[in-house]
Amino acid sequence: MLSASSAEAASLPGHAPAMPAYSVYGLTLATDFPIRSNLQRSHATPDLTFECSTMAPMLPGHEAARFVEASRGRAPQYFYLDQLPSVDVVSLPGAFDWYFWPDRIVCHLHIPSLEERMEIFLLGTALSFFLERLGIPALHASAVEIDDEAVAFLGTNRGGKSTLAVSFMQAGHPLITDDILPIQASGGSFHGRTGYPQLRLWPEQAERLLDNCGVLEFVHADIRKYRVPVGDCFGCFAGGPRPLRCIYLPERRDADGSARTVDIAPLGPRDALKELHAKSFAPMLGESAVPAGNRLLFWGALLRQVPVRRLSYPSGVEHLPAVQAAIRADLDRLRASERRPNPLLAVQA
Amino acid sequence: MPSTMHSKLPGYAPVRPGQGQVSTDLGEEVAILHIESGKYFALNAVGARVWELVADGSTVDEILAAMLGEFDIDAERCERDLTQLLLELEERRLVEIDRTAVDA
Repeated sequence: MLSASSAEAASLPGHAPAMPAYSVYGLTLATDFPIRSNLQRSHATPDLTFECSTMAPMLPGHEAARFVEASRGRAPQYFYLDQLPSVDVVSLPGAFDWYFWPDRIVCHLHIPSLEERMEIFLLGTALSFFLERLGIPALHASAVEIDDEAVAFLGTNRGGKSTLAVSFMQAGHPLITDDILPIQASGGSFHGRTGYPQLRLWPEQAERLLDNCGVLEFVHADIRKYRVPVGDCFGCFAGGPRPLRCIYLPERRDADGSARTVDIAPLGPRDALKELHAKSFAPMLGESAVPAGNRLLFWGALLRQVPVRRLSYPSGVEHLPAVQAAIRADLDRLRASERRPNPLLAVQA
Repeated sequence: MPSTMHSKLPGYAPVRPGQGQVSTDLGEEVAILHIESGKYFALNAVGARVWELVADGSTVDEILAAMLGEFDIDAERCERDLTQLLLELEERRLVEIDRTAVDA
C-alpha cells in the first residue's frame, strides 16, 4: 500500500504509535506497509520505521544525487549509493530509491507495480544494509539451531542451504534464518541473529520435503519459489540469537557414479575469508556502508573463533540423513576438541 | 649478525605497515586489504611472522635476524626471499621502508 505522504511529512523523524511492529533480524521494525511475508509481531520499542512513499523525501541541501556504483553480479540490478551527511541513499535506477536514517527507512517507489519487489528488497538488501551500518554484517546463509547453537550453511551454487535447513527442521531443530544471517559480535563471541519464520523453496523442493504444499503462495510472479511459513504448519522458529558454532560451505555432487560419502573438511583461513567475503549479503553495497576494512577485521575476528568447513555430499533427498549424521558427528568433534584439557595446564596442576 | 646491506634494501631501514591498508590475523596467516585499490592479499605462516615484525616497526636487519633464529633456513636464501617479499609489499604500498633513516 503506497502512502502518498507529502515530502515534508516523509522527512519528519518518528513514527505513528499505532503502527504494527515486527521482529526481523533482531530488529523491531514498525511499519504500516502490509507485509506479505510471515513476520512475527512484536510489542517491543521499535528500532526503526519503514514507509513507502510516492514522493522523494525532502533532503535540505541535497541538490542532486552523486551516486557511486555499489553492486556487482547480474544486470540489471545495479545499485548506486550516495552518502549524505544525515542519510544514505541507495538507488536502483528506474525502480526505487531507498533512504536510510539511523532509525528510519523510506522507499520512494517509482513504479507502483514493483510493490512486491520492494518487500523482497526490504527484507533482503535494505535491512542487511541497515544492519551493516550498525556493525552487523550479514552472510547469505541459512542457519538452524543445534544444541542451543547456530549452525550455518552458506549460500552456494547448487549447495542446497535451504534443503539442509529443512532437513534439520524435520528432525526438530528450530530455524534461525533461511536466507540472510546477520552476525553480531558481542562479549568476545559471535551470534547468529534470527531472520523471520519463513522459508523460500522451489516447488520441487517443497514437494519432496514437505507433506503439504498445496496452500502455499509464490514469493513473486517472477520468483517461482514458495513462501513457506514456519511455525503453524511446518517446523519451529528459534527464540533469539544463538552463538555461532560452525559455518558449512555446502557442495552438492551428482550422486550417480561418484562416491556417495559425505565429506567434511576444514577450509584454510585464506579460503575461508574468501568465501565469507564472497558470500556476504550485497557485498559491495555493504562494504560501502562502513569504513573500508571494517568487514575484513570483522571476518578475521570471526575466523579466529568460528570454523568454516567444506561440506561435500551426494545429491538426493535420500542422502540427507547421512549428511545430518556427518554434521552432527563433526559438531561433536568440534566440541570435544574444545573440551580437551590443555596438557601444559595439566602438568602445572 | 646479518649483513647491514642487502641487495636492494639497507639493513638499518625501519619497515612499517603502509598507511592505506588494513590487516587481520587469521591464525597462521594474515590477510591485508589495500583500501584504495580494494585488493586483498594474504601472507602464509612465514609471511605472517614477517608482517608481525613489520607491525612492530622492526628494521630489515631485525626482521632477518628473527627469521634466521626462528626458522631452519639457509641465510642467503632467507635474505633473498625476505628482500623480495618486502620489495613486493612496498610496491603494492602495503609497507613503507624508510631508507632515509640513519644507520645506528
